[in-house]
Amino acid sequence: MRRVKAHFGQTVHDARVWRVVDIDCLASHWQPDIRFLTLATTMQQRQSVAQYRAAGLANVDWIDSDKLEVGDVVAVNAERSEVEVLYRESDMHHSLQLTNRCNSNCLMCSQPPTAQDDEWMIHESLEAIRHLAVSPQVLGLSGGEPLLLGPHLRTVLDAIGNKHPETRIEVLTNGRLLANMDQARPLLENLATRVTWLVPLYGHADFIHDFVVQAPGAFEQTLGGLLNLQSYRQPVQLRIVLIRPVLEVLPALCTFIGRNLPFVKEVALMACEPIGFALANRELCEVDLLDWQDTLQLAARQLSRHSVPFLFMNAPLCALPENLHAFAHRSISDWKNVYAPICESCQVKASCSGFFAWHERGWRPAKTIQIIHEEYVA
Amino acid sequence: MSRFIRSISMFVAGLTAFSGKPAGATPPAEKLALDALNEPKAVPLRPLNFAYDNLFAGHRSHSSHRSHSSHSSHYSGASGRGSTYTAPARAPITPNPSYTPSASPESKSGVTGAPANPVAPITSGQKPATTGSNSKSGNAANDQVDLSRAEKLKLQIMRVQIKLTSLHLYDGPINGIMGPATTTALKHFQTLKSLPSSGQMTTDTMNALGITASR
Repeated sequence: MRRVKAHFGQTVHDARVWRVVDIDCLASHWQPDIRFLTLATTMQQRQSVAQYRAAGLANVDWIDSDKLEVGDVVAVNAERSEVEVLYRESDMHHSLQLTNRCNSNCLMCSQPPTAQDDEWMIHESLEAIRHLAVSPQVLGLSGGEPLLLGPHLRTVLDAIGNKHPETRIEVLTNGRLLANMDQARPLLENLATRVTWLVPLYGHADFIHDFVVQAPGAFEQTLGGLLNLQSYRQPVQLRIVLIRPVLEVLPALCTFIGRNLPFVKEVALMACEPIGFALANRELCEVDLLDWQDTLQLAARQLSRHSVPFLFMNAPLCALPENLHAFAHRSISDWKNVYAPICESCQVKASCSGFFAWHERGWRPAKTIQIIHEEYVA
Repeated sequence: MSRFIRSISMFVAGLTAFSGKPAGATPPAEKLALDALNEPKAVPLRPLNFAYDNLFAGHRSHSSHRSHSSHSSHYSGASGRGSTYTAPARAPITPNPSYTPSASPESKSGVTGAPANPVAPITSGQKPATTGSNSKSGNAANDQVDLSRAEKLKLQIMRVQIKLTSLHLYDGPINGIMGPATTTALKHFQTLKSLPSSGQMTTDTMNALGITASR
C-alpha cells in the first residue's frame, strides 16, 4: 500500500484511521462518528481548522501532503510523520488487508506471512470500513489468510454489508479452514452480504498443490472448503498462479476443474508477482509465458470445453497468445502498476495489464515486452 | 464463453473480473455544485436539496406532513432549546419539532443576541458534540437512515454552523443548537444572499450554503 510523508496537526496521533476531506466540503460531510483530516496547505486553512476545534469539533484536524486525495482513508503513523493510504476512491481496485498471518507458505507468496498476533489489523479494517465516504462497487479482503480471523471475519463482512450494502466483497482465501463445517457454518449461514470467494488451486493431485503451498494436506482441505462454499451457494473464483510446477500440469488441472468443480464461477490464470517468496524461489517462479504458449492454449481449450469461464490476470498482452488476448484483464493494483518505456508506443497499452512496479527489479528483463500493433483490436 | 469479457471491456480500464465501473469515479454532489459555480459556463441544473429533502425547513413546506402537524405532542410549543434535541434515540418519530426548531431557542433566550456571545455551549444535559450520535450510525451514503429525527436535526445544525464558521459569519460553538448567535449568523447569510431573512434553515438557504439536508 502507499506510504506517504505528511505534515499534520497536533491531535492526529490520537487516532489511527481518518478520512481525508476537502476543507470546503467539510461542512456538508461532517458527522460526529467519523474523524476528518482536511487537506490544508496554507496557514489560513490550518487556522480555520483550529477555529473549528476551538468551537467544539474534536474530530477534525488538518494534514498537508500533495500525495493525498480527497476521500482517502488513511492510517496515521505519527512517529514517522507518514500515513498509509488504506483506501483511495479513485483507485480501480480496492482492498483491505485483514491479517498478515497465514496457514500456508506458498512458493510464490507475494505477501510473506508473519506469525505475530495482528488483531489490530482487524480493528483498523473495521475503522476503515466505517470511514469510507463512498461505497466501492467491489471491495477485496486479503491477507494473510482471512479465515484465520475466525468469527471476526463474519464481523467484517457484516460491517461492510451494513455500511455499504451495494458493495460486493471478494475474499482472497485458501479455503482450507472452510473444510471444517464448524467454522464454515457460522461464517456462511444467513450471509446477507454478497461475497465472491477467490480460492487458489495449484494442482489436480494433492502432492502438486501441497508442494506449491508447502503445506501437506492443503489440497484435501481446500477441496473440502470449495465443496462447503458450494453447499452454501457461494460464488467461487479459482485462482491459478502460473509458476513452473503449475504450468507443467496446467492442462490436466483445467480438466480436473472442468470435471470435478464445474460449479466455479470462473478460473483466473494469473502471472506471478515478482516479489516476496517468488524471489526466493526464482527457479520455480520465474517463467516467461512466451515459452508456455502451447500450455496456455491447451488450458484455455480444456476450460472452454467444460464451459468454465476463465481469464488471465497480471499478464501483459504481449505475453499471451493472440487468440487469448480477449481474456486478459487489467488486474494489477493501481499503486504498483507500471509499464516499460517501450510500452509507450504500444497501441494496446490501454487494455494491457502492464507490469508490477518491481518487475524489472525482481525478474531478469522479460523478453516478452514488445510493441503490439493495433490490427486485431477491432 | 467470455461472459464477462467483451471487446468494449478492454477499453474500460482495469476492471476486475466481474465489476462495473470503478467506484468513486464521481465526485461528491456538492463538490460538483461548487465546481459548477466556479465555472461560469456551467449551470447546476439540479439543486442540492429539493423542498421535500429538507426536514427542518422551519416552515410549512411539507404539505405531506401536515396531517402530523397538530400540536398535540409533548414537544409542542417553544419549551426551550433543549427540548427539541434531546428526544430519546429510539423515540417514535415525532415530526412536530420540525415546525418550531429554529424559532424556539430564539424566543427563549433572545436576550443574548450579540453574535460574539452565543448560547452557552453544550449545557442542559446535551451530549458532547463529538459523540452526538451512537457509533453505529450509518454513513455509507449521505443518508443518516438510522439516526433519530433529533439527531438528524442536530447534525444538520452542526453542518450549518461549520459552514457559517468557515464563512466568518459565526464564531460560536459548533454544538448543534440553533441558538440566537446561529440564527443571527443565518440571517446575516440570508441577507448577503438576498434570501428572506428568516434565520431558519430553509431549502434555499441550505442550497446556498451548499449543505445537503440530513434525511
